Amino acid sequence: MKSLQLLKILFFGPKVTEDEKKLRDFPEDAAFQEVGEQVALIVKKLYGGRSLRIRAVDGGSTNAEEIELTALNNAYYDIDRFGLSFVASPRHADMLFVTGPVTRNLETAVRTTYEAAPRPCIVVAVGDGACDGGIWKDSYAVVGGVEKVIPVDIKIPGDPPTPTEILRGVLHALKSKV
Amino acid sequence: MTINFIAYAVFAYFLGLIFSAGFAIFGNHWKKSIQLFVLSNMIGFIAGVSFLVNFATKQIFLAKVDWFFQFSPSLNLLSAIFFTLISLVAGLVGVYGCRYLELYKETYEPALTQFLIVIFVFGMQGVLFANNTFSFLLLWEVMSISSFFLVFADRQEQSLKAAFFYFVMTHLGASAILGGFLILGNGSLLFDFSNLTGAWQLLSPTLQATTFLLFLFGFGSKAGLVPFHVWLPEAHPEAPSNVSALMSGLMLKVAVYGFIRVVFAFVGLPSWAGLMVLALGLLSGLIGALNAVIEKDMKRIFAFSSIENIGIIFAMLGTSLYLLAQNGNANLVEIANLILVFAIFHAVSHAFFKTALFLSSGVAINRFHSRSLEVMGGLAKLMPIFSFAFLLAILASLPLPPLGTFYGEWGFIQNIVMLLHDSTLGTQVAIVMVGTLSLIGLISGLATFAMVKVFGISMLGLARNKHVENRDEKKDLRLILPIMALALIVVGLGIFAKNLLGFLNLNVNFLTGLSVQANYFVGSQLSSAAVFLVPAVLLAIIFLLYGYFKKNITERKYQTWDCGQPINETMEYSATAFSAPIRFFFLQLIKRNKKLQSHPVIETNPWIRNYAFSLSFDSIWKEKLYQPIIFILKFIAERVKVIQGGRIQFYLLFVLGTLIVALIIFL
Amino acid sequence: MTPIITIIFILAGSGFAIFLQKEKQILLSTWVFALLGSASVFAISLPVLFQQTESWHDSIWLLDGFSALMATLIVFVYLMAALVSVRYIWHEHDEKIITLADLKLYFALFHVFALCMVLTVLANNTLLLWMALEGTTLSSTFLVGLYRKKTSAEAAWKYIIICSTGISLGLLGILLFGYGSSVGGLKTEGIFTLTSLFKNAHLISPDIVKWSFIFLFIGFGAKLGIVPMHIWLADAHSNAPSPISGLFSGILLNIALYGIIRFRFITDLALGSSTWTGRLFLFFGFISIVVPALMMLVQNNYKRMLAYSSVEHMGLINFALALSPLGALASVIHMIGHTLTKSMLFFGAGEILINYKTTQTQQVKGLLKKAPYTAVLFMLGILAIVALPPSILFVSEYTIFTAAFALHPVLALCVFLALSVIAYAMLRSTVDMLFASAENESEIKKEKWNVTHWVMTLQLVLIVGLTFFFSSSNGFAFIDSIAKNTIYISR
Repeated sequence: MKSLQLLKILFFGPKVTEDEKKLRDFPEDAAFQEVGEQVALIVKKLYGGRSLRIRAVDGGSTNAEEIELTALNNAYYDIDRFGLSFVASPRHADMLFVTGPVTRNLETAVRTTYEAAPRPCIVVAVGDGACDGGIWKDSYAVVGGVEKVIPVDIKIPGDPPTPTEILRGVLHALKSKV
Repeated sequence: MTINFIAYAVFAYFLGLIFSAGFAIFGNHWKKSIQLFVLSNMIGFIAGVSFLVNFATKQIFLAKVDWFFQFSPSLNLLSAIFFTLISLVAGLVGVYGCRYLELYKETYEPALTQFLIVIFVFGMQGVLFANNTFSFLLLWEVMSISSFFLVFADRQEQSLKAAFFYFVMTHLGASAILGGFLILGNGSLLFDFSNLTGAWQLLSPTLQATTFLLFLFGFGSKAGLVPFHVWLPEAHPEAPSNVSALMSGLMLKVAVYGFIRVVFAFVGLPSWAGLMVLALGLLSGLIGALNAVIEKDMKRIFAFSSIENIGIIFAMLGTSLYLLAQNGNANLVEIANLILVFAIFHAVSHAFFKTALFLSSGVAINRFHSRSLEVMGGLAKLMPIFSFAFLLAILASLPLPPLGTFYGEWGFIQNIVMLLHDSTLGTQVAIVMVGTLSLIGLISGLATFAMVKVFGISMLGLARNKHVENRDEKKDLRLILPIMALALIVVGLGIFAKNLLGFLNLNVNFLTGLSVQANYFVGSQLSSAAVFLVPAVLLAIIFLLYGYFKKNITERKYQTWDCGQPINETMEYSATAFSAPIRFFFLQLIKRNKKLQSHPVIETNPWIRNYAFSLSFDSIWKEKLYQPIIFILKFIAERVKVIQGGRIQFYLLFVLGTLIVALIIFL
Repeated sequence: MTPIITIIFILAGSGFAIFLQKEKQILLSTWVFALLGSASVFAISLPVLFQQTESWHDSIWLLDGFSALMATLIVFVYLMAALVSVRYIWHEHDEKIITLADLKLYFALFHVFALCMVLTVLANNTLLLWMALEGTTLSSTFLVGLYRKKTSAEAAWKYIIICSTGISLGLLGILLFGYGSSVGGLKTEGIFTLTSLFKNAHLISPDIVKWSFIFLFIGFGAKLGIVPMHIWLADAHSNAPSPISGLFSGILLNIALYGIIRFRFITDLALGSSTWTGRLFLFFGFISIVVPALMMLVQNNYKRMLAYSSVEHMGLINFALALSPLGALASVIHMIGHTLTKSMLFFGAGEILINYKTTQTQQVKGLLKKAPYTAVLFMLGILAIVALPPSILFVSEYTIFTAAFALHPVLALCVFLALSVIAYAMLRSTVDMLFASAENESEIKKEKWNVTHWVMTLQLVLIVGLTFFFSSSNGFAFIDSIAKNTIYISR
């Protein structure tokens, strides 16, 4: 009997486990959407119809900012539709996201990444630690904010900043370059 | 520019060589010897060129020395081409040797080495002038024995072994040549070469076959034709680099000259003979190219590359012989003629670029103190002029336009294609031609790979070995300029290919004295000078445009992006890794010895081990062909030794036994 | 004008060697009497050789072109060996390797040995020839065993047994010749005289002639060192003192061949053609070339290597004799060349032995640094003996191959291969000795130029000079005049 039920479900049941309407029916983040559309317009104008490539450098963070950056890439926030994408090498990057206070161990990494990135490159300090050192400000193990190591174009405060705030920061940075 | 002028010039040349040898051996003035040597070679070059310009179609006799075995040195087109070639190359190698022998004063004794080099060149040039068996073989022996001594110039045990192997093979070859000439001359050593065709036609078919095989073995073993090539990758690397250059660049050509002179006079050679030469040539090309790809010793790679190029030359010669044997229409004869011309052209360009390559290997090995590619690298930054010269030489060795080597092989390929278009061609010939075509393509591809590997690994990237000699490059200019000159000559050959080939074509009296129309001539629509000029002009335009647009471009230099890992030489491609794909593909044809040894670091812990890996290649021919012969000989010798048993009764029994047997047999 | 004077001189030399007491006096007397003896032989042989005087014979002595040539060669090598012996034996006596009694024995037997050799070639009476040949064996036995080591004694024992057995078989052959000729009607006093045998050979019945020649060939062949009777040769020639080895290899083998050739001429005259004897020579000559080639691949004693080379060259001469008439000329040239070259090589080997005190090739290293003169001369000798031009052996070998390729091409190719193997083996050993570096290079006592080097140089100069002479038509005519009607029958 159980096997008959199984067969019935297999051949005649619904093709998805979830209800299809329910899948598409979730609240959109209107603010994010709006910022995103503006970013898309500016990116198109600045980069001649092409996309903005971002390289994320970890200067010694708690990974809270990294989680938010990862969230930017998931199916909900999906910055790819706005023309932003993450790349694996600073050589390909138009923009650098630097997270975390720059620890002494990773100072060289941040510096070489910045030097390897071709100009023009927009440096964005993401998170409180990157802005001015955060709670580790005068620690012996930390150099300080990112601006102590490489020139920064914009700072996005927050521990960690929400995806919307990050995107707003990117929009500001791009607007200043237009 | 009369015959007298040429005769005096040649006489002055040989006299110069003798005095140069004298300077070297008496009184240790080896530098003066080199200067005189280079000067003599220049005189020889002028003599050769004046012959080619004035007397190309004729054969001239320079002297008549009756009391010395009726020796009357003569020059014809074929020998003049090689004479000019050898003079030019030997002169450049002499300049190189000046600095090279100085650098290696302790390893090679400069005076003795220079003396032997002069004698070696004397022998090579003398062979070209010989007109009868005795003089040919005498000078051939002079050439062989002086090169034997040159191979073990550093008197180490390894070079001694290689030298002896070479000695045995070269003497077997010389015996075969002597045997062939004796059969042709009916036992007389004073058999004149002008009677070659006549004497050949008097022989019975079995004797003709024997003679052909003897000459194939004799000249083929000297030239490095598979399966007689096994001595070449052993002997050429052990010799000093300028000597390797002379041996690989020039001596192999003398063997090719001998083959062409003798075998192409055999009118009516059956088609199996041409097919055999073709097959051996293609086999040599394949084996040479394949081994050049997988080897790690720079000079061995070049030695195998020589085998490959000689294989291509012999493939061309074999095709020519095969086509001549088809008894076809005049079309086939013309194409056979043409292919012969291209073979000679390829031989000439090979002489130039192979010499340049070996000279470059001398410079590289001197800097890295090792012949292995695995410890080389990064020399281009230290020696930019040399790396440019070496690059030119490598490019010259590839069959790519617009350099000279291309025209030799391309002519061959295009002629085969022309032949295949001929509707009256027999099926067997067509199949053979198609096979040849495909194999030549494979060989050229593998050769390109090998040469790229050599240059890339030895010159580019970081040095894989910290102990690189950091001497200023300007001090070694005498080493670099000959390489540059030789490479530029190949470029020149490329530019003037059409003129040179046309000249050779019009004067071909190798075969039947036919002069050829330029109908089937390669690129009758294509001018080789244009092939060179067009890319050159395009490149110039591109550079100009770049220069013009560069003003708007800002450049900032920064080190290579290394993802945070420090880049060092262990990350670079090694020679073994670079050739891995091809090696794996042809694995069945290669005898590879892989040895992985491990032993535990601490005895009680068998899981943490030290590993040592080594990869080496053996010659299949040496194992399957030569070792069994040597083993059989030694086996018989040991068995024969038993008769020296030691007991005298045994000996007496032998004596009486022989008596009885003799009485029975002979009465 | 007989060799009586020579006999007197040489026996006197021998006697002086026995009765004098001081070493220097013995050496001086050896020089003097060797010179006198040689001069007396040169006086009678050179005029006949260069055709200033007619060849003559009486019932005991025969002096025609061939004997004159052999006699000249013998005393030349005798003189050279005497010079070398003086230095060599003096050195050995100095180093206390041999005693004064041994020295006196050496020089006494040395002269007697040379005398027997001279008598062999000048003899017309076949029994005198046989006695002289046996005399050489007897006198040289003690020379072989001079060093009283176990190996020398064994070598001497083998030498005397096998050679005497062989020569006895030869005696049987000679007696059969005599019998055959007496049956054929020759007068009794003529049956043991070479010249009358030459004249009356047609009287001897062919069957008897064949039997007798085979006995003679095998018998004298044992003395000559034809395979397979050669087995004593390597031991004897390598254990004897080097000047004696030079005499053995250089000239004694030629003397045995001389005997065979004389009787071959009679046989050919009796049979009417040289085909039958030719077959014998061809077969034995061929195996005498191939077997030493194989043995030389596994030799590690340089004196044995030289001894095997002698076997091979004798084989080559035999092979040449089968290829009449061009081969006969080649064989004479080869005999001359081999004498000069091989004796020189053995003298050089003696020098190497003095320097290194061992005959094992492996233990001789760095010869070029320690003894450069010997090394270079030895190397040149080796190059001469592998028939590299401009060596006389090159002239003879190419003549042989000219004839051989026309008549027996397959055998000629095999001989060619064997000669290549031999050349490789000899060169490998020599180059190993010369160029491999020795362990302790510090204590190098450089050798001085001594009389052996003078001798070797003189012989090398002769080798090169004679090459040019023999390769011209004058030289060929000269050899032809010697060989015609003594070695081959001219038609």
